[in-house]
Amino acid sequence: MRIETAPVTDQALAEALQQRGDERAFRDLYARHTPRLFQVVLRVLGGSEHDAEDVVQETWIRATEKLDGFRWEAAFGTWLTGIGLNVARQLLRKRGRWVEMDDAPEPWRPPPNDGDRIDLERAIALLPAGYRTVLVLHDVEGYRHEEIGEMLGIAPGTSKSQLFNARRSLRLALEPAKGRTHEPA
Amino acid sequence: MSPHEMDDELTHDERTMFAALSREREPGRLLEERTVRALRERGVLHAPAGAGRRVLRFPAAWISGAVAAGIALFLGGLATGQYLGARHASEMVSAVQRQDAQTAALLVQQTGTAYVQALSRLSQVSDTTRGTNRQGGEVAQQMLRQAASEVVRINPNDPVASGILAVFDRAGAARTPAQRDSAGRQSVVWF
Repeated sequence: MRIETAPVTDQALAEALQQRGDERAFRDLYARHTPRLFQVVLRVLGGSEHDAEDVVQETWIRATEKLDGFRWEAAFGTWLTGIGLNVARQLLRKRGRWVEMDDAPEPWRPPPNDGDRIDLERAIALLPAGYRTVLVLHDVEGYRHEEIGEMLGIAPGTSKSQLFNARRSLRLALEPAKGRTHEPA
Repeated sequence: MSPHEMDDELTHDERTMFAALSREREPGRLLEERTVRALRERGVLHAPAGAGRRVLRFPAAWISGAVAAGIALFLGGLATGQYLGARHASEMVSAVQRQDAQTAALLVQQTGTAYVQALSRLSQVSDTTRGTNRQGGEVAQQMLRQAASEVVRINPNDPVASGILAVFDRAGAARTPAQRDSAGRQSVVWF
């Protein structure tokens, strides 16, 4: 007879990490959550794997430092993603690629189109960082505007307007170039 | 922009495209180790007990066998070393002995040649220095007698050396007491 054992919860692993500095517990947590975190961060950063790895490392460092303050009212993965987004945003801001979000549309031009369709991944990477972040969190990761607002420190309404502009820009980037020239979104 | 205007929904095709995007992606293999190292340096992580070490457990019989094999191997090596060492030492002694015999024979040859040459030289100067000539002759005879004694010691049945010693013995017995006293006062210079 096969006996199923319940998987160790994120909370139990986090406690082992907190109380004993248990490396195995950390590696388990890392294995569970890093692939998803890495993919989100990679999209938000526009596809730079090197930057995404740096952000993931810094995210885990900050997460272990802040673990004491985490109340387990949200999922560990959501909390971790929030930290990762903040680290990624700091990196983008440092490079002058992050514009603080408000309801006004970000200045953006669709990429020059030579007639070939570009795929969705490429089109997302070409969006302004703010649009891209909200679009990834909402349409790809499935977060609600309230959650996005909490993670990014913005109002849910701002998240909605950002998503609206992001989708419109994305459609422009994806449509075939039928006489389209560079026009602002 | 009104809330109604913002309320645009994704089309079916768009939803399908988004659904097809991957939700997970593995980062580089070194990232985990890099992160663990950074956390260790900050004192957040402690390496698990036994990490990096493999504890091997062997049955008692296996250990006993290994010890016995080790001892046998040691003793075998020791015996082989001693045999080779002894054989080497005896070969060395033999070689030295062979070398000594060859050296001694060469020395006899060289000194014998010098002895004959010295006598030849003595005979050439015998007319001008009579006293020295007589002294040289006595020394030559003494050397000849000593040499004959050594050859007899090497080979007691050597007829030539035995004959020389017999001649010396007869000549000694025929000397007068005055001649023996005179001979006893000879100052022989040994080289």
